[in-house]
Amino acid sequence: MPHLRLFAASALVLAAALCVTVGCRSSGSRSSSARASTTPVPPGAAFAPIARVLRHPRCLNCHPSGDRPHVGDDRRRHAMNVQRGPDDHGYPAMHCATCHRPANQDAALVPGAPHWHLAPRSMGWEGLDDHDLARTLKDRSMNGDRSLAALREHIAEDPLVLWGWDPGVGREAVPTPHAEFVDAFDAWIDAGAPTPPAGTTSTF
Amino acid sequence: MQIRFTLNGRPTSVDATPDTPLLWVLRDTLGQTGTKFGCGRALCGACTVHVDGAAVRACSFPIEYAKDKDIRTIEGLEASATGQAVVDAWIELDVVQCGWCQPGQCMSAAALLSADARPDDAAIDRSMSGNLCRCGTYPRIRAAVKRAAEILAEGGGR
Amino acid sequence: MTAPGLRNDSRAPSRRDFFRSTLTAGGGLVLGLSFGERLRAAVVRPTADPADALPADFQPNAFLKIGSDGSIVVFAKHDEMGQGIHTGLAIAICEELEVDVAAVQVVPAPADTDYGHSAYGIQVTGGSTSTWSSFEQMRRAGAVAREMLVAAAAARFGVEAGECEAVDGTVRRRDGSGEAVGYGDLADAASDLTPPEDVDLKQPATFTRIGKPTPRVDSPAKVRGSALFSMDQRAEGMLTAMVARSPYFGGTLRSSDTAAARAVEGVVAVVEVPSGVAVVAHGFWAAKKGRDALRLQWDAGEGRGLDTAKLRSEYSALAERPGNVARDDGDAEGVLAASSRRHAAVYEVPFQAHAPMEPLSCMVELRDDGGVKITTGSQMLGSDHPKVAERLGVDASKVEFVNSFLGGGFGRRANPAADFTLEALEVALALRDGAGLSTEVRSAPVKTIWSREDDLRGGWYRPMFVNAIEVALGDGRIDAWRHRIVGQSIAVGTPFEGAMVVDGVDGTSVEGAADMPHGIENLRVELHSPKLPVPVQWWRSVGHSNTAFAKESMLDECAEKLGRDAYELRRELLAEHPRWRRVLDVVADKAGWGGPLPDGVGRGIAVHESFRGFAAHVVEASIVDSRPKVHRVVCAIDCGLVVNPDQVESQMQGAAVFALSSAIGSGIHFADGKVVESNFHDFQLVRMHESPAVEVHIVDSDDAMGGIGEVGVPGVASALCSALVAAGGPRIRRLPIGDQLG
Repeated sequence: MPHLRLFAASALVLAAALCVTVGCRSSGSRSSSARASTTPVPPGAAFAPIARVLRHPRCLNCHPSGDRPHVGDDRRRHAMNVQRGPDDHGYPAMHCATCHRPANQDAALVPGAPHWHLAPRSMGWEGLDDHDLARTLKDRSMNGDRSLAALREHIAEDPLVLWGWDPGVGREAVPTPHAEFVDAFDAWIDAGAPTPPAGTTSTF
Repeated sequence: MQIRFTLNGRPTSVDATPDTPLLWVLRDTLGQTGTKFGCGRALCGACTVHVDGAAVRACSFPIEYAKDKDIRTIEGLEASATGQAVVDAWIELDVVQCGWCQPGQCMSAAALLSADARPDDAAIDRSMSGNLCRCGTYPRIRAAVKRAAEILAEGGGR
Repeated sequence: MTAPGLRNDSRAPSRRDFFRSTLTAGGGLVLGLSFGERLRAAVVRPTADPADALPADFQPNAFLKIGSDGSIVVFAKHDEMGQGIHTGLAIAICEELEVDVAAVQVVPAPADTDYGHSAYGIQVTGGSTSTWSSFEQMRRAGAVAREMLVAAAAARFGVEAGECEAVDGTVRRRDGSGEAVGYGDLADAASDLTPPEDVDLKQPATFTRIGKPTPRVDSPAKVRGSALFSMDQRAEGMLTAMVARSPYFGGTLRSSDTAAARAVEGVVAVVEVPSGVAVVAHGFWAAKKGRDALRLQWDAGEGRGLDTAKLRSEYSALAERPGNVARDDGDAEGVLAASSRRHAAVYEVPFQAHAPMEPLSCMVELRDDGGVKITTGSQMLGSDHPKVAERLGVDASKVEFVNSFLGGGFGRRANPAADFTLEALEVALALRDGAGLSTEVRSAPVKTIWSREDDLRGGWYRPMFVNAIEVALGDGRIDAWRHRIVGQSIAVGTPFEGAMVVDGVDGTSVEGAADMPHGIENLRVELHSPKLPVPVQWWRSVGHSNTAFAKESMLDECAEKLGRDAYELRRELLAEHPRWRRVLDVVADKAGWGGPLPDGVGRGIAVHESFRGFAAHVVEASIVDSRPKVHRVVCAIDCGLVVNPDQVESQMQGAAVFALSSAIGSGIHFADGKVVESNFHDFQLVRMHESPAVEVHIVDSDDAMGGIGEVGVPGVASALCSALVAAGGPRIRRLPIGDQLG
């Protein structure tokens, strides 16, 4: 744990440096000239700010490694025996859309966003360290055949991803501002999308 | 706002604030009280209806989403063979106790049977666990889902 | 719920009492019966308990209407909340009336002293008493009608009554001529006859309906959604109200800002009522949005600081001190003091909400004559009705009370304070008197609806209890047993206190403990009844829901300590009690007690008497992902003569699931003076995937009729907890089990 905390701290410094270097770009505009730093950084540090976000309950709850989604900031198992189903949208009478609408229903405290569903099993992130998380993310056989550019578009524009920053009443938004997250993603891509070494798990 | 949809096969138009849940449009505006209120948070399933054939909890379904949809409630469930079989099985096995949750149970069961003609116990567990029954009629609900499947397999239902 | 010992005043018999001929459209026969002393003496009294032998007094009843169009309407004196009593009452009537249950329509009786409970006096449904207390009365109602119809037919045929018989809704001649006339055609003539003072009831051997599985009369309408429950009731121009109540029990409103609520589209009024602030609107949604927009400040009052952990330690401390004595056989204290082999344990159950699936509601239509029409779903019209009249200062005859199907009751709708009824009345009165409101609004029918959050946080719970049991163990036996119970009385402060509390002991707090018949020579049961601002009341199986858990759990712990089999130990302790022992033997046999089980699966057993019924359970369970997984429940029930075995089975199945919910996942807890739970995400009920198969074995019994609906609840929790021990888990002594297996 001390090791992890140290690592997280250095990643935070890096994130701050990124912000200074590239400014606060909007999520929609990617600058190919972005360069994180010329000074040596710990291997895999570029991925740490991304990993933290992916590991946040807003993302991880619906990227389970098994067949059951989780809910809440404490990531408890989704009640009602909710399960993945053949197409990641649940089972009859218990489809995601049985309860979840294209927008949050704050009166009912039911979260919602367009095409609410579970990430495919191949994109299950639970239990992965940063190394495996990055590998899984990049592997086109596991990520829905997405190029890095397509991944970037997914995290920058997919309303289901954006929901993590507007999760409705009673749920914590992803702490990293979305624009910073996209910037970090860009920086990671620009750095060649390096896979961090095994054994590190970056969290908030 | 004025919203048009089809309710149990009939063109229907209501004037409601867009955030009004379908449940209360059905019960308060249209006087269709077969769809029940139990929790208001999509936790109990008593308000289950079908929207374009799929089960939906009407308590957390703002009426704005009903625009141009085909909505079916317990009052219209028997229009399909599956719905008829479900209702027949529920009556045959005397599933009900207090009965408040049962229209929602039937709507979920019909949605299940529409997708899976011979659901086993695991399938019933997956599809019926969103509907609470405080009286504890689950053993009979399980039996009635299977009985409805039999009725359908025998060519029953209308 | 348990017997409130109230009776309505005796009245002199009158022509009306004996016979109500009434002016029904089409000139039918409305039959009301009154049971004189002679008839009442014949009413079955299943036990010799003198407290139950209250004379029914003159109870003029109107249970049956046969229209000249052939329609037959049964007025159900007991409320249908799922227990199948509408069907059960109809079966009893139809057996004697000689008509199929499917041919009659059953409607809820209105509030009227005619429908007083045969044992309790007032009109009430509870205590698992409906079937046994009404059985004879309903049969007589049917038999008297039958005899009058036969007499009317005989007159028409010009023969003696003995030459005619009633068969399937007709009276026909016995001479083989085939001449017959339907009941509808006889209704007018029968209405001119004087009812017989006595009738012969059928011999049980000739029953063709009682004891046979009979379809529920309410199934089709409930399945199709056409059955009207309280919340489904509507009236022209009806408004909907929701009340914002104090989040603290005993709290009071300090200040309110209602401007935003009034601005919500559809809200027509915001009025103060004694329980809080009511938002009145066109429909539920506007009322709810309006209520959400209220800005209210509350003074916590005496509920400030309510905290479950604190209560637990206070109750546990109380349990270390002697309480009021409810039972004292032999010398439990002396034997315990002298024993070198003592075992002690503390068992705890939380407050429990009834959580009927239909949240509470009540519609009020004030009338110009100072009276009112109340439409709701109540288990206790006999208490609600006079309370409404009293509040209005009018004679009860000016209060019309319409009951509906109850979307679950479990005791909640038999509220000693008529809480949801009187609150709805207050809303209507405040609306009528509201300044600046239109005449239309002030005179509108108004239905007050509770949300699920209101329901779970609205009080009237089963009390929290702590039980301290200490035993002295001898050679293979229990030498002494001392059970101290700590928990609020549900009777103190209610009209039923006088009847229910004796020498400082609320009988419902100690039922199931103070009356345990197990052959333990030195047995002492004590009670502490602390007072709290939390309103409490009966909850399905009442005190038994606590005492059976504690008693049966400790019996299992004794068996473990003694190295005895849990079933065999109970058999021995209950050797003198055949009805206990019979259900115990049946359940052990049917469950295969002692037989092999898959690895990781354990069994637990329990047997308990409550509400004059006897039930035994075997639960098979394992621990999966740190949660209890219940695989199978086997239940044996002895309720005496069975009216509708299919519904006895249904009640036992439901009771097992109901009991599993409170054993595993549901409970009401306090923190910072407020209720923690708010809806079904944190008040967790068993769902389909957690529901086991429940096998029900009804014991053939010639013994006295007893209760059913509540009888299946008490034994389940301990049987589950002992099954989990057998499955390798820890002994759970505090319900709900929740995450204690983790």
